[in-house]
Amino acid sequence: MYQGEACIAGVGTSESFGFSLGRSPVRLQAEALRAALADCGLPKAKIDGIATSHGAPRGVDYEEFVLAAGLDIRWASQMWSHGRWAAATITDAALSVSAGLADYVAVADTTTTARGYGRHLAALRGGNAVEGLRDAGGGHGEWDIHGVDTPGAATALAAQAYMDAYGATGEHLADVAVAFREHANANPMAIMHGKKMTRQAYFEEPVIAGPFRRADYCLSSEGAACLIVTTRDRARDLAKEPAVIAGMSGIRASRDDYVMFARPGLGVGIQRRRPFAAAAEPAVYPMAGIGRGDVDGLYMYDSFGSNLWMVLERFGFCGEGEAPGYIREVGIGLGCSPMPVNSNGGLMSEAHLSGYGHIVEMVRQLRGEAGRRQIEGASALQWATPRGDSLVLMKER
Amino acid sequence: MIDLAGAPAGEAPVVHPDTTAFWESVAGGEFRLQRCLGCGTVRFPVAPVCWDCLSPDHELTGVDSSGTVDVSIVVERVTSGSVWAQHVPYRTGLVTLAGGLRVPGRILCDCGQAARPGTPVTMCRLPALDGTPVWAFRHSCREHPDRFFARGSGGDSATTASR
Repeated sequence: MYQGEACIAGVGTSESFGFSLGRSPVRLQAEALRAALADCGLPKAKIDGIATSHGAPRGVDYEEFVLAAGLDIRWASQMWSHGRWAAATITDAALSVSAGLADYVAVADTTTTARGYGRHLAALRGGNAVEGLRDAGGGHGEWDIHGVDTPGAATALAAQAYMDAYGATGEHLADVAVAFREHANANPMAIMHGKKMTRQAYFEEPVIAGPFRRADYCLSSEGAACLIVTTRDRARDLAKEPAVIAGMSGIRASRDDYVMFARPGLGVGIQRRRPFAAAAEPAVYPMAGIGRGDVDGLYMYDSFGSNLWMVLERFGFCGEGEAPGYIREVGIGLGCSPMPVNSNGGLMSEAHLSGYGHIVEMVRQLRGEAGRRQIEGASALQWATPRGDSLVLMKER
Repeated sequence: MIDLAGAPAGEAPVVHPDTTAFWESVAGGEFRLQRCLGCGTVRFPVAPVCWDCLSPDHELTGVDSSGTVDVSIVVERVTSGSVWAQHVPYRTGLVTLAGGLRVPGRILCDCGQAARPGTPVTMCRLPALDGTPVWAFRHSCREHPDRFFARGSGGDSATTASR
């Protein structure tokens, strides 16, 4: 039984994030690895495991990176691409070091776009499009042949279903986008740093699909992140305070739970429509030895603004249909909420790092390194997605 | 092939041996789904085995193709670079058929009523880029002589064994 033996000892990112950086995926990932090693003072030769994902958006496969970075590893794990695997990839690394399959695992992930460095590389058919061409449609609820051929259009459909059911409006979507943009303005690494967005400016953004304006979408951007995962025992000899990987839960999948950004019961795709109630105690909390109310900051996969409604209800922070009201009443902003959400600005305003940017931020928050974004006394932070996968990171005691 | 009111052609389905019979039924002007011969489950989307009992044995059965809008959106911009970019703005969504199954489809509507859940729509078909007919829906404001799929008879009017 896992007893919280693993931790994240070092974190690093590419030197910058942007829409078109002009640097290859291997180079971006090397920047992130170098930064993570420097962060915790670990020599490269100590890395003996790698966990990554591969596919679209284009990243780097484990072998390509091992060769390029001169690693010599004895354990590798390669998941499918997209942020849905961030928790699973980190979980895999945590279990591997706990079981002694590796001592120091580099969890590395890179995103490059077709409009960015992808222009210089052989065509990589979008994973989203390939998913959408399945006979059963795509994992976000895409149906290419019916004009729902992007995760954005598919999620717009889910958001519209939610709005039809519970009376949420564009004002509620604005609450999310404006808050995350404000957080990005306290994050010098964020692509949207320096680009403030008032509520009025939100409503001046063009509509893309259904209720979604441009600001409800994540950034289609380039960048890389790297985490050094090891045991807490080994981390004591390293330079920085580790973040304990205290709780982990996997992605849920079923015919009622496959549309990526719609929680069960919403009734999109082939999901059944039915009342939804979160588990009294989602598994990630007891594993971490905390309750939901102990979470000091929430980090969630914000590929689209409505994802926050799904996460808040899925993990029981509020009841069915109550998330827009929760966001208004309890708040999600730094300095005003007891549980700020996505203090880094998230995928919508920092950069699309498939969730790993959020994990880097969580580690920095637990260390007290977040500067203007610091959540006072942060000791337990949660990563969560609408599909139910989650991590709880905690301050080393 | 009747091109409904000039609606532009979209992406084509990937048709392969497991799905050929279904798409042939669409081409023939019927919406026929697989009914499991093991447990009777009528399934959508098309699949080689029953999701409930895993039996591969099935027959195609005609289903009532009248329905009501479940949810719909207008796509204003297409970010994928696909053929759909040439068709914006267009309405698409999910329709609940009379038998209770929910299926996706483009929704042709000029008056905007199809934005409202519960709006009755009729199944029709539109050609994809490669000419393959794909099912879609239209609101009554889009009158057209084509009555494909509008039989609304429900049940088992046409079944074909397929294993």
